[in-house]
Amino acid sequence: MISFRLVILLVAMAQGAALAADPQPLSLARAVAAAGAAAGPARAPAARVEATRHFYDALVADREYAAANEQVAVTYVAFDRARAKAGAAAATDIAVKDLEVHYARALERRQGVLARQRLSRHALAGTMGAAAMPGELEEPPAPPASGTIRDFDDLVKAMAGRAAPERAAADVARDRAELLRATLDIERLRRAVIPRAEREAELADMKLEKARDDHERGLPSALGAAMAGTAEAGWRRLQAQGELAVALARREALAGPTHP
Amino acid sequence: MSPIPTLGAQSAAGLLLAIFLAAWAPAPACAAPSTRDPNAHFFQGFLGDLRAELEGARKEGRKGVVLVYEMEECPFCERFHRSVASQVSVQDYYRRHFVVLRMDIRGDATIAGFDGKEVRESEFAARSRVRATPTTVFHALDGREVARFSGLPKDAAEFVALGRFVAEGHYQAGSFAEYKRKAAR
Repeated sequence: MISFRLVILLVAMAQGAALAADPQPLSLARAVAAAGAAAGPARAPAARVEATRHFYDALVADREYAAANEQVAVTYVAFDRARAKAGAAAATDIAVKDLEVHYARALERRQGVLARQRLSRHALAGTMGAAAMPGELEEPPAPPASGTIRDFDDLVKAMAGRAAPERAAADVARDRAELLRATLDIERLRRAVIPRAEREAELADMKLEKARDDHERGLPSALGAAMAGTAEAGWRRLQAQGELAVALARREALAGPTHP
Repeated sequence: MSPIPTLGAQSAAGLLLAIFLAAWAPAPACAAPSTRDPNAHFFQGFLGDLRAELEGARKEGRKGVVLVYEMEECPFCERFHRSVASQVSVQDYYRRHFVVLRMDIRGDATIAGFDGKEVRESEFAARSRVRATPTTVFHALDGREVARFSGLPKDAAEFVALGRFVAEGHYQAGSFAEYKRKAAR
């Protein structure tokens, strides 16, 4: 006889091997499914939330790395030009040293993001039960930034309907508190965080447009910095979307999938 | 502790077979991909003679030649490839209407310009007043520059709009910024 638990383990191993060998970018749906299978039925809801969190952590780190890399280029060009202009006096020129410090900070930040890329992938692989760290990740569609805020009591009823009847009162109270936290997070993210990130992205686009116009007229411009600014705004928007996706997954894990 | 359910060896083997088959089955051919390799589907091979490229564009019924100026290790060029030139919508539009060539602003290859004169690639970029990468310059079939776009577009849709601005001749009536403003109304 083969135990059900062994079968679950073999499922997870098979999926992990398939993911490691697959040249296709990993999607959020596949990561979540693999994490659910690896965790087994009892822990699957929590594992799916963790997979969502780690998936977005890795994806945001990828996008932030690209932005940090652009900042390295921008700060290096500024430093290099100032150094060449200052000539022999560059070593003692405060303005040149200031630009060198900006460049060094950009390098430091990029190195830190590189570490986060690896750590978040390691965590994602662990949640999925995969032997190898995932490679390229596919950007999922943005989670719904609007939706009906359901009455909290309805959610509590839905949660109670899903919970085992013998569940201890302390566990029920903890779940209820977690459900409230997830619901409030969703509201905060939809009403304030996502709109803020959207406005920042719009501002970055406007600054790029202005810099391009100045550049093409031969006026002094900061085209490189403006392009890098759009990358910064892009990863911050993705980060906000990731927080919302995780909050929605937390609520779904507690109260089920039927609540927009 | 709840008892662990068990499966018979035969049914478990069947389940495992199904899992392995599912794991290795090819992805269903449903939706077409939205991205493709830009080197194969956006940029075209450049043999070093821009007049010949104009002639080719004319024979193929295209509107002109697009030069995308880039530089090695330029992270903005990398983003241009990743988020714009890799998009099928961009590739399809540009391949239909233009010959698209990549130019290296530091390149030391000798090329023949639109006037037939030989010049180093880097010198050609300097004479074309390219001071940032990526920069996209559109040339009509007589070699004349008709539009220029410095830096990255906002997204693939804006880059397609830029192609349309040139291919449909709107550049004769005003700037791309004005064209976009009118289109947004």
